[in-house]
Amino acid sequence: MSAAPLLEVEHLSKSYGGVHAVQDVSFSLVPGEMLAMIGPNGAGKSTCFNMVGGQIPAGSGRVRIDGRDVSGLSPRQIWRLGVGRTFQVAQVFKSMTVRENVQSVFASRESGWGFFARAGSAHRAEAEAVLGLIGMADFADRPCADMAYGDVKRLELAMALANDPKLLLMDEPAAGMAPLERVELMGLTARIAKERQIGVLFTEHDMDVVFAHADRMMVLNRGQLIAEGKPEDVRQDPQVRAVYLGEGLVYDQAAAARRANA
Amino acid sequence: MFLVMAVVLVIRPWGFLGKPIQTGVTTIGEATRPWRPWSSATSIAVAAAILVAALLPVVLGSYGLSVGAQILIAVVFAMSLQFQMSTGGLDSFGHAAYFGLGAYGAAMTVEWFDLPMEAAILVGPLTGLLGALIFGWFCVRLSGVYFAMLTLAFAQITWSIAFQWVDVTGGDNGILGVWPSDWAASPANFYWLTLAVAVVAVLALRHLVFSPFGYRLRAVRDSTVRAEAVGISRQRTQYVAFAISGTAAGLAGALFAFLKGSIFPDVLAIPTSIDALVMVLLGGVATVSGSVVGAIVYTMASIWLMSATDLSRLVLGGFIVFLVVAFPQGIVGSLSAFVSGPFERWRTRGRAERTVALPAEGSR
Repeated sequence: MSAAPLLEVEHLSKSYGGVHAVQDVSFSLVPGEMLAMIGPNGAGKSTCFNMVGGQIPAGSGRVRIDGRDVSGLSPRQIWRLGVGRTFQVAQVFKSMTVRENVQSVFASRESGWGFFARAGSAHRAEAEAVLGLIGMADFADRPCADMAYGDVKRLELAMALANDPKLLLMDEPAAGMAPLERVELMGLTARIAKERQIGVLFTEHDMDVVFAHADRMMVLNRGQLIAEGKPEDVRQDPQVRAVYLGEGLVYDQAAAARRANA
Repeated sequence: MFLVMAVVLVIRPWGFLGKPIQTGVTTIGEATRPWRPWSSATSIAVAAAILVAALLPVVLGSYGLSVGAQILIAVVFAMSLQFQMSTGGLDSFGHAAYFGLGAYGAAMTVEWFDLPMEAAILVGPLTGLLGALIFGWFCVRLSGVYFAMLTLAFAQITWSIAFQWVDVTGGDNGILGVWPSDWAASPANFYWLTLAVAVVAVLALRHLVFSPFGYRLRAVRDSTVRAEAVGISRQRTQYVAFAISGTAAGLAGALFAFLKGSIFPDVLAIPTSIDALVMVLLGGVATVSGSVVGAIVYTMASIWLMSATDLSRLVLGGFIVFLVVAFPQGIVGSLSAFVSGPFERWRTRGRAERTVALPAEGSR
């Protein structure tokens, strides 16, 4: 790794009551890198994401973005540092049109009250440029409420990109999308990330997507990081295979029992 | 009692034993069709309506004009609540507080400082603003039903102050002799004054809905998580909206004081808040300014029923139940859905309906 890390996570932990949702997780991410975080449901992926994005406060440990400690910062302060994020369940402004959604993001960037301008015409070109980037220019005037879920997910990506971020946090970006759509969305994300040198941290359940686009991946199980490295290495890791394919204990026991009976 | 309610809501809104729950900002006002500024046809229709309203003094007598002024004041009041409820997603049950503060602010300016109407009409919105800044600071920390209850508690506190602080507010006797300046004293002139104020206030609030601030406010209403994640502060945005709404309500209250010439604590009471809520509901919560129509219909109905029947409240209640059942989206909401449906179909004719941008038929 030659470049200075964009995101550094050190000994991050979080407990809910007695449950250790995330335990002592450390990793880092350089600009332009696609880092996948995988793991079974309940492994702590979303908790990790929300701690990095500021949605929930970190229990202990440290998160640094571009060398700056972001502990205790609110999501909007973290956004101002150049972090875009998408959510597991897409969060968009569904009473607005597609273009207005992106325009709202630009409206938030302005200082001042914003009482006097007409927002409908402000940042119109910029919003359309962002929509064009993800291939949604034709959809600009459509009400968000009419959109298919896959397109809502893409709109969310457009909103995250509107801030010209250095870091993208994508929590299951392709969940709920049709298979081909997923592949295209992640291909698009990977291309934009490479072009603009955006670091992308994403979680995904679709292993095809992960192996196709991740530069590096890490595996979380029960809050702990159990493997990290190149996708092909992680794939061979016995611990990871055990988590994903099961350790075969039940099967082995049943087989043993059958043998004993025979 | 309402003081206890306010304290509880401020300190532990989820109750003494309860835990905080995440209330996503979902309101009855949730709009699913994107709001658009008026088309040129609608603008012309609105201009025509304003012109007709401005010509009413030619045909109406002084009673009719005072009813007209009262309707226009209701329009401003309802619109101020609609801005907060529909655009901000903040359902207030105590909007009378700001109306009453404006009315008392104006009346006390005349009574205690002997200032003319022009000054009092400026003081009214400022007292509404002041009240909204103080109460809103606590209210916007909450959301959903807790927010609504706290607004109700603050309205009741304001009412009890007006009712009990006899030395300053006159208590139950109210403040009398709040008359307009000479130039506005004739019914026609006062009517024109309220019309001018109402037109400016409604247009200004509508403009705000489509300003960058309005986009931020709607963003927060639609998805707080997303808004915060793109750098919009929920509390700050809603606080400003609350203050704007309170100012507009205070303006309506100030005009009301001069229309009636006197002011009593019941302008601050629960029925006043309910009136505003009903006007917004009648007009359509999911509309930008449907409450204008709601206010006109409701005020006319209540005044007419008052003289036409002994059971006016009962009949009015039944009428409202009927309208809400028949037009759940409100008068304007239902009408615009009725008009825009065929229009949208005509506009998009011949264009293939595409819902999915990427080919989705592929499989692995």
